[in-house]
Amino acid sequence: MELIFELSNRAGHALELRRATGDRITIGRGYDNDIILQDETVDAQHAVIEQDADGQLVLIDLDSRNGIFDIDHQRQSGPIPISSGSEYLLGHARLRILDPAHPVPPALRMGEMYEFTRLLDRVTTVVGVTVLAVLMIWLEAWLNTFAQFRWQEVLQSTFSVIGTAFGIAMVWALIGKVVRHETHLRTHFAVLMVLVCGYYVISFVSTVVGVNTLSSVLTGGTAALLLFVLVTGALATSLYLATRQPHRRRWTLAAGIAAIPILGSLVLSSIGNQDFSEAPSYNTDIAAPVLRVASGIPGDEFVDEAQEVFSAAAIEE
Amino acid sequence: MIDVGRYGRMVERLLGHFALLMGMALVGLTAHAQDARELFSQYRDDIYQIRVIELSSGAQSALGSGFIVSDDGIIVTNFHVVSDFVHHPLSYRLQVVAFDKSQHDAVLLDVDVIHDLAVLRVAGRPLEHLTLAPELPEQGDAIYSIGNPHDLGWTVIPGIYNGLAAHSFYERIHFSGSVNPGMSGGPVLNSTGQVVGVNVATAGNQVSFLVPLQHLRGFLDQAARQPLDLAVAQDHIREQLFLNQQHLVGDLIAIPWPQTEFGQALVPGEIAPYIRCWGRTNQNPDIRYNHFISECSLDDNIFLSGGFQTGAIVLHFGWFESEELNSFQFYNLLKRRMSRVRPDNNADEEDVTNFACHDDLVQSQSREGREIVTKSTFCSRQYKRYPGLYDVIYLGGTLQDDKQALLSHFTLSGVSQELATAFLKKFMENVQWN
Repeated sequence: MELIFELSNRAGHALELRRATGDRITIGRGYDNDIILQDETVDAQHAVIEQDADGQLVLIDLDSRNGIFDIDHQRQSGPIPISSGSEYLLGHARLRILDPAHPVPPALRMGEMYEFTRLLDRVTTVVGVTVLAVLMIWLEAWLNTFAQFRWQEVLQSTFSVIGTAFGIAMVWALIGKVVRHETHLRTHFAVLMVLVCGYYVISFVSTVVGVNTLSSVLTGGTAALLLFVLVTGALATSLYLATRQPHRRRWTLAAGIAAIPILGSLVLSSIGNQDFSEAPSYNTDIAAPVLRVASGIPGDEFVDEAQEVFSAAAIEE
Repeated sequence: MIDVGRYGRMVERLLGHFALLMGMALVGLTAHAQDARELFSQYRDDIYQIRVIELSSGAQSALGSGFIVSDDGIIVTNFHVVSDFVHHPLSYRLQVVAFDKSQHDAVLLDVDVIHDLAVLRVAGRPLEHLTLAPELPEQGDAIYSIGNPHDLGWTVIPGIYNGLAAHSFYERIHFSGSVNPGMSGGPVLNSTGQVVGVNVATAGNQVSFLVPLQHLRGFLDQAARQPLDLAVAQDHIREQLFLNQQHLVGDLIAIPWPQTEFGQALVPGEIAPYIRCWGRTNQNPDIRYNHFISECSLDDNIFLSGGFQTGAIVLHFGWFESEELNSFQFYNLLKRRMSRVRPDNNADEEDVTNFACHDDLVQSQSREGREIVTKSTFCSRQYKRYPGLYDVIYLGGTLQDDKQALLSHFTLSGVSQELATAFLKKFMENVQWN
């Protein structure tokens, strides 16, 4: 007979696959076994698999100290009839026994997500997006400096952004390590750097659109939506990396669930804006003349249009 | 409870709080002391402490002073003393306490929010009353303010009549003497014991303000003699605000506005004697741009409640220019400045709606025929108790020059849509680039 043994960790992830052949396959910690289990709770000669008179494969406990349990932690005694795919605990060791003809599911497509994360994983990508993010932070700081430019302050804020991103990447890496034994630290970091770049791009674009269209609903709403999509995308990528869940539906669902609190807080803050405020809320988008293509309307027209605020103030009551 | 108002903030800023303490030591010439004693002993039965009592707790929520002006028991005090009762008549009641400590219930007859006056009637008590002086004193005459500051007991404070305060739209007597919280509504007597004014506000350091005789007389002449129906009291107040703003803002719209040079622009200057302008330059040596402002405002506010004042008129201009900043930096600076606009009067949620705003780019011609584009925002909020009255804010920032910009802004409070619109039009016409 020929059998495949799948050794798993306690979470059920396969660590190792071994093939054994012979009329009698012995399992134990001793080096003379066919299947050697390096676990202190396993006896030197723990169990054996034989064929009984009817040709049925049976697993027999060799009077081991810690015995044999099924996957539901029920102790098994006597010859245990086994079928392909059944799983047992020998001491702490977890063992799945498979027939060579045991069916396997068809191969999954690697998918765009795999390609995308592989692209992110490249050293050139990681360095590239990090440099881009840092440059954007510096540019933003420089464009908002109206007194003397102080490198000290700018570096401080740069380090705080990079440090925070690194911290978050570490958490993701830790999750990945636990779940899949894969850290992908630098890929997680790259995802966050893309997020930083995306944030600056969105805020710049929304200002330029805002100064030309003057619709705070359009710019504010669209910017918030884009930011939400960006954050959800980053979350989905990191989740994919950390779990390597090949089923697209599952990790999209997980990312969606994780995005709910973000969406919730966005909705809450927009409801919060409807609370009473002494300060008016209006479109504050202003940009350099070179970014403005729209021209204005005559003053009289503005005065006429502005009449809407009186009825708007009344309706709200 | 003294309405300090804009004067108070301004003087406090200039002189600091210590001034109030120093000033107190200067009071009290002997001659005054003699007169004061006689006056007080003669008229003390005509003065009352006014208490606004919160019904559920039975505790007092506001204290002021008042005085009897007729033999049928009419008591004059400040509106701001009884404002809690006017706005929430079901939660408060009015009580007056005589010099002999006897307590009496009082009914509210009428209010004048513009001049901060109110009249009450106390039943079946007075035999004597104070009389109004035939005319205002001469500048330099000694006058005597009576009241109960901080509930410490009756106090008579001699001081000097110094005419009407300059630049005051509503006319206030400038009294050199200390009026303190709790004295609001108390009478101010001339040396013959006739009423010349009513305590109303202080700027600290011996600078105090009184409602002058003529406004008191005008109010008493037309004030109702029947208890005020508090259900329609708000309509009554609305009418007063409406008429007053029609007069105040309507006049401003009707007169031509003087323009002054401001950076590369012309902006309105002191458009009326009671609209005063103050200028300031940012002197911070670290900044890489030049910035100066001019702010013109009406010094008087109208008190409506503790958290709600109206009547404010503010015109604000800011000039920004920079050789060192690039265009992107310059407009980030302007953006930061333009996202900070707040109304210039206080109001709570129970008083006003939220602001509704309208933005657009407005195109105009400079005097040299250049095209000027101004990012303009106009916001308004309505008064909940006084429908048809609004606070409005305008904010304009020019967007056509790389290194120069003009920021123009005004606040009007308690105006009708019609007045606000006319003012907006006039304001925009009177801000012009060279």
